[in-house]
Amino acid sequence: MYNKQPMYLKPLYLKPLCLKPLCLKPTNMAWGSFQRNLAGCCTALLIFTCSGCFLGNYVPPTSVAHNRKPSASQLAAGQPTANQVSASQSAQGNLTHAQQPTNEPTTALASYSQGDSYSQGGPASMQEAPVTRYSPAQISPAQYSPNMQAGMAPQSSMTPQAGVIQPVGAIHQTGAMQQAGQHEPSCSCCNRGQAYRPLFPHRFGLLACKSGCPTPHDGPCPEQACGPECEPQARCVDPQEYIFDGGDHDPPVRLREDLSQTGLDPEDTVIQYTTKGGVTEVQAGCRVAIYSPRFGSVRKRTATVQSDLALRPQTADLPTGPGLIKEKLPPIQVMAPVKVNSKDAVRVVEAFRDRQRPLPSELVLPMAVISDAFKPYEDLDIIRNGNIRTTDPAKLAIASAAARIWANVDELQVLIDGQEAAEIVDLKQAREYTLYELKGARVRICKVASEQVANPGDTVSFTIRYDNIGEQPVSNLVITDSLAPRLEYIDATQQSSLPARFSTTPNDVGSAVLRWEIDQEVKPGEGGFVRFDTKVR
Amino acid sequence: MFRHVSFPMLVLGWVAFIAICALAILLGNVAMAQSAYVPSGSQAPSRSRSLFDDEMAPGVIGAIQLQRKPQLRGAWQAVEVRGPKGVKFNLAEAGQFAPDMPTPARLGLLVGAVYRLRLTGVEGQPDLELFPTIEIIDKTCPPAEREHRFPIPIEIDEMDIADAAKGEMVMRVIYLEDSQVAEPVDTSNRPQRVLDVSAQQNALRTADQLGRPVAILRMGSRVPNVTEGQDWLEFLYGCPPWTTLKPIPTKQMLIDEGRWPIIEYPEQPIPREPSPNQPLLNQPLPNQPNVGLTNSGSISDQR
Repeated sequence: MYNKQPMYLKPLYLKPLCLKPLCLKPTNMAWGSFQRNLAGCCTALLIFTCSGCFLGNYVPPTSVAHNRKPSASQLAAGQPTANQVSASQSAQGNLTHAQQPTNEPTTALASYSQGDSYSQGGPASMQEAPVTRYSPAQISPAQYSPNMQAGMAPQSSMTPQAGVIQPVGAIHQTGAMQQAGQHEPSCSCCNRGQAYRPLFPHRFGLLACKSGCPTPHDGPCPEQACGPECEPQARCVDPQEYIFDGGDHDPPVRLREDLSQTGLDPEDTVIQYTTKGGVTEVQAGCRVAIYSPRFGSVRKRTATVQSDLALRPQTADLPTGPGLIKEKLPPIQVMAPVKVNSKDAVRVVEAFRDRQRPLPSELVLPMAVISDAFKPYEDLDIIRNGNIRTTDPAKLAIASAAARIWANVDELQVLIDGQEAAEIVDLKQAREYTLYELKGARVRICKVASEQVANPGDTVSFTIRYDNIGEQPVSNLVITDSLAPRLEYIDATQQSSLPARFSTTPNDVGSAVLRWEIDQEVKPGEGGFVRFDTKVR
Repeated sequence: MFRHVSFPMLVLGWVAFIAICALAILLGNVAMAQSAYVPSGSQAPSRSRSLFDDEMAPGVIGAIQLQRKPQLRGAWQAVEVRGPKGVKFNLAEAGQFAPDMPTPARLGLLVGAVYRLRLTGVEGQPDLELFPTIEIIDKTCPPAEREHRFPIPIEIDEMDIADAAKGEMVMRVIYLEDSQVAEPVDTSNRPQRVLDVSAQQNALRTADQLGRPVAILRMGSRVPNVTEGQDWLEFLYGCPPWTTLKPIPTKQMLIDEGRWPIIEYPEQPIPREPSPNQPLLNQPLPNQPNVGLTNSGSISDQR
């Protein structure tokens, strides 16, 4: 009986297993035909599934070429990479895309297009920007001053668990928020409060590379290898036309156990003082802006005709010696200079007579070292006697306000249903008042500059005024000013109203860190100022 | 075909086939992962491309800039054209070149427009004529009423002219340097800092890394073969409007213009009788101490 059945399959094996209960076999179909058909269907299904997997994973060579890193020979020869070729070939596509309105600030010229089929730059590149952190061994939480003021350390810039500090430019934007186009409240991408771009990337090693970069860099190399040109950090704000000085950038200035400062970035100006209780604190001052643009250029020469044929010189001109030598005779006639008969001089005002009310004796500054009168740009009550007049903040904010207005030109303006956004002012007055008594010690620092605009080569004077506005005397005052890279301190131009030890040390951006150490105790209501000159580079 | 294959062999064949397919899928995924692997450090440039390229035709970048920044439309930008000694240039105006202007000269140009210049007066080559173009692609934001004090300097040095005369295409991308990451070098009273890049590199992208590109100078040796007609107007890029900015007057310029106040002093001062109520400045005032800066630190009312 079994001999009549096909050799390859015995229905007794399969019937009790699965095929019989499934009732897939038609009743009029023989078991042999059903098994053959079943085997063919399974094979076809497997082939179809595998081919689908292959096709799904297949990547065309042209698409891979966009992501391919240029070879070393290409880098050495300076050949255009696949990205450059694709960029030039797809310029028209970019043009179409650029005409679409975008919510992102588009200030950088070579910003990367977003939403392209194979271009995932823009926000993705911003998110993947390398984040440089201080090592925990360098700055530990235990080294922070326990009396640090709460408002000095933003939470987004410090991770207490890891004990690390992120410099400016560290991205705290999650992927979901990035896709939704939202930003965190502390996000600096929109030029709210601070620059998105690292202020001094070469200081943190963000522009450095491992190898193969034609441009030498200072600082440590990051862990990631980079291309032939060190790629800049994506930024949302334009490069500054202003030279800023003063304030305290992130990371804020902190003190170690030995009272040495860390986090002192260029442009920072802080004062460090010790209270009567032995607590040492750091206070930052205002920031001044000087409009001083500096231009450079990138030159590229391209030959219109290229030829591999080298031509030999056909003729050569041999230099010949001089045919005639004329001896120089001494002058026969000598004209003596004539003395100046008259001289034009500009007469300045030698005396100024005015009746002024006598100042209170406790507001008069001891002028021990300052040998010059107040300069015109120091004509503020906050500089002269430490009292703030109502017009002083406006004068101090002139330079900063001008810069802020300029920087916000490219910000997004919302227009909803044809109606402009309006500012809503609530006329309700506050019903509860909370009076905060400023007990303890507190030092106020204010900085002003002599110029609001300057060209390279100009001299700009700075004056830093400090006052003890607390209720306790403070001592061990240390004023530290780290200059911007385009400001050069002019030697022997510093002055201090109180006796101070002055020292300069170079900072990381090629400028100087000015430091005044004042040992004299400053009582409540008293203060002083320091002054120095710089040259704009 | 299956009639002569036993059931164990068929099952074994299926298993082998499934294993081969699984292996192929695995290898395919690995190959794809390797082909798409890009080091994280260069991920941003590899997945993205620049919006601008320096090989774009003159005017394209400016047009895109006007699309991206509508506030630049109709904006004027102060520009100072500098050249070697003796070099003169002409700007296209109303279908022809305007009279000669010596260098340096300060101009007010429109952002986004392309201007055709004619450069003459090169020392040693009196017959040489070059026709460079200037494209303003961005503007600066100086304080109000001080725009003329901070023009964009467009410098054309001898090397540029020599290279262009040889037949090369010279392109200069002038950028505004970022003050916060600027090189700490003194640039006062010195020529503009120039970074030479190779012909394969993107000068615009390099300039964007160093700052904000604001203008492009293109200079070659080609001369127009037409002097009128539509081609001539296209050669002049439509003659966009421009204006000259008056330089900051010096004392000599004010004297030449008759605006310097001339005060003629008498040869002998007229003796004047001092009135009893008006004290002289060079004599100490009665009942008042000396004027000067005292140790109190405030400016007192005496000197």
